[in-house]
Amino acid sequence: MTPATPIALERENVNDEFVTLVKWFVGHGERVEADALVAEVETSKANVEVHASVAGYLVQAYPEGAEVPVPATIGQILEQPPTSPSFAGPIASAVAPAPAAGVPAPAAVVRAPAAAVPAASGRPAASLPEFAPVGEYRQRVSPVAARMIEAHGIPLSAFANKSVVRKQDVLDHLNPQSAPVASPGFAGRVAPGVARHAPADITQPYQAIRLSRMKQSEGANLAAGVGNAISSSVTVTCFTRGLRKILEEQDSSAPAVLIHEVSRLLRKYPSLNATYRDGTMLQYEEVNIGFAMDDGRGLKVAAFPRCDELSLTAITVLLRELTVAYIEDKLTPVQLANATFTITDLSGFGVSGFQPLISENQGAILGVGAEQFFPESPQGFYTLTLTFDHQLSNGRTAALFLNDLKDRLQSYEETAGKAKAALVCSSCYRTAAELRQVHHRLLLSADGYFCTICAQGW
Amino acid sequence: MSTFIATPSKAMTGFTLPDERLIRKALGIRLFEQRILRLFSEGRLFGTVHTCIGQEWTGVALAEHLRPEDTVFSNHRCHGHYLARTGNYAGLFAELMGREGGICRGRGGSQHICDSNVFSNGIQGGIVPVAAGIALAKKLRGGSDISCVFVGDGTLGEGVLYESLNLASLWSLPLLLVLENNRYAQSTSQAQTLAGCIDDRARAFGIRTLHGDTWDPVQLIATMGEAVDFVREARRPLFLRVDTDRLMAHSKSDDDRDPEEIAACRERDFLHRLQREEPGFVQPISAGLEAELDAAVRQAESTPPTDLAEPVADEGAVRWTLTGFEPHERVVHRIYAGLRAALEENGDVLLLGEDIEAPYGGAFKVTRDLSRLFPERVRNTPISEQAITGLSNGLALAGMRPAVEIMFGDFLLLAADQIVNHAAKFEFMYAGQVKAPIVLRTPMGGKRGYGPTHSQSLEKHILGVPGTRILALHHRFDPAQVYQRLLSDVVPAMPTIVIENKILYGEKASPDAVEGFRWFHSSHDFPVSYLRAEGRPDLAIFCYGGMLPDAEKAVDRLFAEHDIVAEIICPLQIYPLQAQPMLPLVQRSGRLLLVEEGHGFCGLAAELMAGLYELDRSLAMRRVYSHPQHIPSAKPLELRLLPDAGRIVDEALELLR
Ligand SMILES: Cc1ncc(C[n+]2csc(CCOP(=O)(O)OP(=O)(O)O)c2C)c(N)n1
Repeated sequence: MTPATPIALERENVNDEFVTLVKWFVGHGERVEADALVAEVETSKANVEVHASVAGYLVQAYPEGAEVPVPATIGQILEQPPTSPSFAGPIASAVAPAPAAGVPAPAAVVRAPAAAVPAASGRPAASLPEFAPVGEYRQRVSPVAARMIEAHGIPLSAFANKSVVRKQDVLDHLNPQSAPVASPGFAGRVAPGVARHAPADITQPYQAIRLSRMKQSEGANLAAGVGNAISSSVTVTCFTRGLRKILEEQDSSAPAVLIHEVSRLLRKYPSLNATYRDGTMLQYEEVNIGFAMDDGRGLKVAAFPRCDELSLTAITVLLRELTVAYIEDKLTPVQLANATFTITDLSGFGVSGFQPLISENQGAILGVGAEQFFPESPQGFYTLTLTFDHQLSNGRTAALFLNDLKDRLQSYEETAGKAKAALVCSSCYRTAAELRQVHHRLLLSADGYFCTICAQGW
Repeated sequence: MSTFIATPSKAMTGFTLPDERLIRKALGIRLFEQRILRLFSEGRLFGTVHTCIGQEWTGVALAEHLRPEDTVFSNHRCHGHYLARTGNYAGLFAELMGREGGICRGRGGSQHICDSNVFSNGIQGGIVPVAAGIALAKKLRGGSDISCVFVGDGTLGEGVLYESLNLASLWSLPLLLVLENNRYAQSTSQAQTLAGCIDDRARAFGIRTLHGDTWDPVQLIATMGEAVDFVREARRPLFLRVDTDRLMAHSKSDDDRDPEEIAACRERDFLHRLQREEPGFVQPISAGLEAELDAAVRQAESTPPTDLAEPVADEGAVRWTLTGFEPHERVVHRIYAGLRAALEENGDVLLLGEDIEAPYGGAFKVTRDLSRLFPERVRNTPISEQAITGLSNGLALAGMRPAVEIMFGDFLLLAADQIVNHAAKFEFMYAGQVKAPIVLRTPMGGKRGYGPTHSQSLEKHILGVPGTRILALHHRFDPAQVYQRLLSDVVPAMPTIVIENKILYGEKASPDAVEGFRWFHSSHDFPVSYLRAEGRPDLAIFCYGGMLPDAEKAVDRLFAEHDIVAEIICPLQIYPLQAQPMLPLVQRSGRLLLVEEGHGFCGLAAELMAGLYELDRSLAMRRVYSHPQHIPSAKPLELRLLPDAGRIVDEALELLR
C-alpha cells in the first residue's frame, strides 16, 4: 500500500450523527497540494471546508451528496495515484498513519486487475486522468466575466482553480449556494439517497432535493403559523428600451418576451421553480410558466408547458391563442394546470409596483409593473418584483435572478436584429429544436435555413 | 456436341506415363476431393468447395519444380495446388470441416488457405498484384526464389490482372502466372466473355508465354519446368496457359453444361483413361490412398470445431500527458520528416505511388526529394491504385514495410478490394500466420476548390473493417511521429490507412493551444488529443483531421463572444475508435457536439454518438456535417456546404439552448 493520510472529520456538533458531503473540489485520483481545499461538508450549524493536510493524490470514499457518519473519514491522500475506483465506501480505522517523510513506499502496490473491467460492457470505470495543475495554463477571462469581476471588485485569486473564467463562474462565486454541484449534464438527476415525495396534490413532475440542515431549521421557525410559503420580495427597475427594441423587430408582445426570458433563466435558478414540503425542496423538472390574466372575467392562470424549450415565436403564438380562449371563456382545465412559476402583469392597470402572492405549489412569482417616466425624460422604465419562498431560496438568489433577467431584457437593445442569424427557418422562424419535435428539420438553402415544413408548402 | 474440344484426345497407349509417384499425387488429390463431396452429402462439412477434378496436373506439375522458399498464390480452386505441394490431407480436411486442427484453424475454409508458402484467396484477380508484390520483395532481397499465381480463364475479365501484368513486366518481377483454361467461369462459357486471344494479352505487355495441357502430364511437367527455370533465372515474368477440363460442377451440383460435353471431357481425362486402360495398375494405388484418407478424416474430426470469437481489444487504462513536440514546421514537412526517418531507420521501408518521385515529389509535395535519397525504394507507379495497393499487400506479406500514396482520397475506393478483402483479412483468415502492415497515405477533404471528385471525405466508407486501422492526421500531434511509429515495430503491425487532410498540409504542426486551454494526449499509440480547460466546461466538441483548425477557432469564439467554455476531443485513430476514454471527458459537461467534414449519414459522428449514448443516456449530443450534396468547384458554395467554425459556433449555441 502507498502511504495514506486519512481525511478525517471531527464531530462539530454533538447533535450531528451525520454530515452531508456537499462537494469534492478535487477529483478522485487527482493531484492535491497541501492546504488545498478538498471538500465541503455540511453540518447542522454551517458548511465546513475541508483542506488537505499533505500533498498527494486524492482517494474519494464517498460521492457528493452522501450522508457520512461522524466521526468519519471521507477519503485519503496517497503519495501515488490510486489504482482503485472511487467511492469504495467507508475507510475503516485500517487507514495507516502517514509515515514520516522519506520512508520509501512499500514495493507492492495493489492494482485493480485489468480483467475486472470487461471490455465494452456497461458504464466504464472511468480512469481518472492526470491533468496538469492549473498553474501551467495561461488563464483567460471572458469579456463578460472581466466586466463583472471589475464591477464587483473580486480578486482574480478567487478563480485560481480555473483556466477559463466566464460569467457563470463569477455568479457561482457571488452566490455559492446556487452553484450547481454536479456538472450541467447531470443537473437533472436526483441526488443519490434522496427519496422522492409525491404528495397527491402535486401533478407536475419534480425532483425532491433535501434542503440543507440550516435551511430546514430556519424554515421550521419561520413557517410556524404562516402557511406553506414564507414570502419575501425583491424589486428591480428596468428601462423599457430593450423591450421596445425587440418588439419593433419581432411581431411579439411584452408578456411573451418575459415568459420567454424567465423560462430560460429558471433553469439556472432551480430553487425558484420549486415548492416546499416538509424540509424538502421539490424541484420541478419542467419549466411551466403560468401567466395570470384578469380583465374582469375572473383571475385565470394560463400555463405554458415546457416553455423553456419554445422559441419566442412559439410563445407569442401560444399566448395569443390562450388570450383568445380566455376572452371567449374557452380555457380548458388542461390549459390551466401544472404551472410551476407565475408571471403576473398588472401594467395594464397602471400599477407601478406590487407584491404578488405565491401560487399554491410554487416557490416564486414575478410581478411586472407599468411603464413610467421620469419628469421631462422620454426614457421609460418599469419594475420587476419577485416574491419568493424564503424556505427555498434567499434574497441574494432572488436579486441575482432579477438582475440576470434585467440584463437579458436590456440586452435586446444590442442583439435585436441579429436574431435572424440564429438557426431558425428563415420563412416561419421555427427553431431547429422545435422542428425536431415534429420530426422536421432545417435545410440549408441559398437564402439561409429553410425548414422542411415550409419546403413542403411550396 | 464436342466441337469445343481444342485438342484431339490421345490414346493412352503409345506415350510416356508419368512417374508412379506423380500419378499417386494426382490421384490422391482426386480421391481427396471426391471424399469431400461425399462428406458434404453426409453433412460432415458445410460451406462451399470448388473441386479441381480434371485439373489436378497443373498443381502437381508446378510443385515438381518449386523450392520451399518459392510462393504460390492460388484462387478459389486451390485444393490441388496445395495438396500437390504439401500432401497434408488431414490439415485440409480439418480446415474444410471448420476445426481447430485445420491449417488455418477453420477460419479460412476451402478458398482461404495459408500453409507452407501456399496462399489462396477467393477474390478473382485480386491475388495477382499480391503475388506480384511477393515477387518484388523476392527481387529486392536478391536470390532466386520465385512467386507463382494461378488464375482461371474467367478471371481474364478482371482489370487488376492487366494492371499487374504491366507492373510485372515493367519492373521485371520473378512472377509465374499460370492460367488454368477450362473455358468456363462458373456457368458462363468463354465464348460469352472473351474477345481476342488469351496469350496475346500477356504478349502485349512484353511477357513471354508458354502453353501446355493436362491431358499430357509428362509434357505439362516439362513445360512447367521450362517456365519455372525461366522466371528463376531471367528474373522476368512468364505467362503459362494450361488447357484443361473441369469435370465436376463449379462448386457443388451447379452444373448446367451439356452432359455430352462433360462425357467427352472425361474421355480425354488422363486419370480416367488410366483407370480404364490400366485398372490393375491403378487399383492398389487407389486402395492405399483411400486408407490414407480414412485416417486423415479421422484425425481431422478428432480436433474440436472452431468456436472462439476474437476478444474485443481491451482499451486498457489511459494516462493523459502533455506530450509536447518542438517543431513548428508545416504538416507537409513533418510527414516528409517521418517518412524520411522511417526510410533511414528501416531498410524494408518502401514508398510507392503516382508521381511521388523527384523533382515532382507527389501531388502535394510530401515526398519531395526522397526518391533521390533512396533511389530504389521510392518509386513512381502507373495509375493503378488497385494493383499498387495489392503489390504492397504482397510486399507486406513478404516482410517489407510498404507505404503507398493514393494521390487523392477520392481514389481510395479503387483500392477498396485490396484493403477490405485482402489486407484486412490476411492475418485473421490465415490464423495469425502472417501480417500485412501496409500503410496507405491519402489526402482527403475539400475547401481547396478541386470539385466533386477530388474533395470528398470518403473515410466513412472504409471505417469499421476489422483488422484495419484508420488514422486521421492533425497538427496537434507530430505527423512525423505517426509515420515513424507506423513504419517501425513499436506499434502492432496491421494495415493502416492514414487520412491526410489537404487543408492541414500548410498548417504549422505544434502543440499550441487556444489561450486558457492546454492539449493533453492519451497514452494510446495513436492518441486521443484533448483540449482541456481547468474549470467547468459547457460542452465538448468532437472532431478529427481537417476539422480541427475550425473547431479550435470555434472554441476561441465561443469563449470570447459567447462566454462559453468548449473543450475539444480529437482522436488521431478513428478506427478502432477509443470511445471509452472519451466518455469521462464528455461527462464533464454532459454535452457533446460532433463535427465531421464528410456527409453525416452513417458517418463517424453518428457512430460515436450511438456508442456514447449506449454508455451514458443522459448525454446531450448534436452533429455538424457536410450538407448532403456533392461538392462543387465554386468556392462560395463549397465553403457553405462544408462545416466551418461559424457553423460549429451556431450549433454549439443550439446544443446549449
Ligand atoms: C471478384 C469476384 N467476382 C466473382 C466471384 C464469384 N466467382 C467465384 S469463382 C467464379 C468463376 C471463376 O472462373 P475462372 O476464373 O474461369 O475460374 P474457374 O472457376 O474456372 O476455375 C466466380 C464468378 C469471385 N469469387 N470474385
